[in-house]
Amino acid sequence: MKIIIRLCLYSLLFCSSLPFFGSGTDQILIPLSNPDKPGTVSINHYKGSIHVTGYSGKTVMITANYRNPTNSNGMKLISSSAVTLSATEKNNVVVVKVNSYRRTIDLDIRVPYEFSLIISNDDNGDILVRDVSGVFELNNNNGDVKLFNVSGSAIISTIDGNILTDFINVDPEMPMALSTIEGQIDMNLPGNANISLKMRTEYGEIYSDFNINIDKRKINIRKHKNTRSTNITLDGWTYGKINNGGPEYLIKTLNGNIYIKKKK
Amino acid sequence: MKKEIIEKWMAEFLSPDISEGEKEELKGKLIQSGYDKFELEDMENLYSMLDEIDVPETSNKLDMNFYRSLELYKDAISDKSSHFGAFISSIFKKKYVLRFTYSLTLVVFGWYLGSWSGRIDNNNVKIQLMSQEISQMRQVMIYTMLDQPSAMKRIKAISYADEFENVDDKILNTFLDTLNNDPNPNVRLAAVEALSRFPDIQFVREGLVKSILKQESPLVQVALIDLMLKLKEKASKKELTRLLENRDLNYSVRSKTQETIRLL
Repeated sequence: MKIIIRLCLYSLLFCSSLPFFGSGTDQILIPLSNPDKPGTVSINHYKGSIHVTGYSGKTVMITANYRNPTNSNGMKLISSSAVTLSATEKNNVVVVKVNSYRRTIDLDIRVPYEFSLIISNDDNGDILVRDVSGVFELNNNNGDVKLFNVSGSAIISTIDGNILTDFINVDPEMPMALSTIEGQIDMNLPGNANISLKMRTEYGEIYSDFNINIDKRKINIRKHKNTRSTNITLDGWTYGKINNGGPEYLIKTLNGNIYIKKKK
Repeated sequence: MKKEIIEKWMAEFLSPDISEGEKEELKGKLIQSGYDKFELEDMENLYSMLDEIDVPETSNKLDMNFYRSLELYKDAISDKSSHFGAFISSIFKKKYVLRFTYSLTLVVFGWYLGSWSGRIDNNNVKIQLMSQEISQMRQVMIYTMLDQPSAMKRIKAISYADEFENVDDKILNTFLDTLNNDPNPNVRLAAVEALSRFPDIQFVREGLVKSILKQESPLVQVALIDLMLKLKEKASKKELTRLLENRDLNYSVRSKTQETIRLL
């Protein structure tokens, strides 16, 4: 326990010593308590894009680029008013704090290949994840969420953005959920994945090149212990199975199309 | 010549009841069989002399002793046979053997049936106990998983309830709590889906209606509005009208709300 606390303190010291003031770019390196084990990065962002890429290193590397404000009159940012990037690490969980409430900050993050991500963003940028294996909980209200060359499982939500996922491998146990209001959902899956799909689009269409066993009128029958009532409903969802079926993937959009593609 | 026949001839020869001619004939036969003429005459003389010997009279005492011993012997024999002997012999009488086999079979069959039915009862009780324990364990698991920081695990917890034949009020209340308080919109969506299966339960229906104004994510708002239309819940009109008063309401949600109020 003492070692962990000491490591946390060291990492905090290390982090605060690194930022490059005045260059419009901040960078911090966060060492991990257990460098050989998978970890998690958690970021609550407001404005800007977040790009996460897996690499062969053992530390988490965060670079913050301040996007030139619109009233810069074509000039570069030389100095910002306060240090806005900090991070803490405990038991391989890295919590990043960025004060992007007033300014747009684009984050570029390098993580070891096996890492999970909990990222939320509000505006002014996309969330993009590349070459990482883990659990991804991503929420980007007004931008796209794109995953390339990843494995594991994902829970993604956006309101105005599109969702694109490109999975090499999926966790055979974990469910997934992808939902958007305005955007389209584009899901690339390995051909041998065993998945049960539950999909719905209000004003769009669903397409797939998988041989999906569609069960459009799945009847839900549920009993309740006290009232002993049985409820049967026909719902507006489209149910389907890829290969033998497996954990449920909930895919929902209001105004976009849904594409379930076989990864080639 | 057989010895018995010769002895028979001898007995007839010595008997006083036969005629002289017969006597001569037997004498000839005996001489032919190897008896001497003089030997035969000696035998005849000895036999006639036997008749002349005085035979002493038996006393009354001897008679009494003899008959008493005889009676005693008879009693001893009959005593043995009337108890043990009679019992043994009665057992081996055909009808008792049949009865005995029949009752033994009944006893064995009854014992087997008893132990068998006892086993069935035990198994039924065990199965009932086990299924109760499993459902309790699952409920505990759902509560524990819903407390996890990982949204993936919380979604999985809700999907476990899909496998339940019977769901009790406690679980449904927990799902209502998740619907109103979970930080992840996809977990809230999963809660809406899980609760939508129990529209006949009054407190679930009321909870869903009340939840409309508590939601900030357009994803969950849309899911609830859809559900109100599906359930034809007229009581939700008030909530939906108040939702329209929110200036920040998403455009798509606004138009969907207006359409739903019109259809209700």
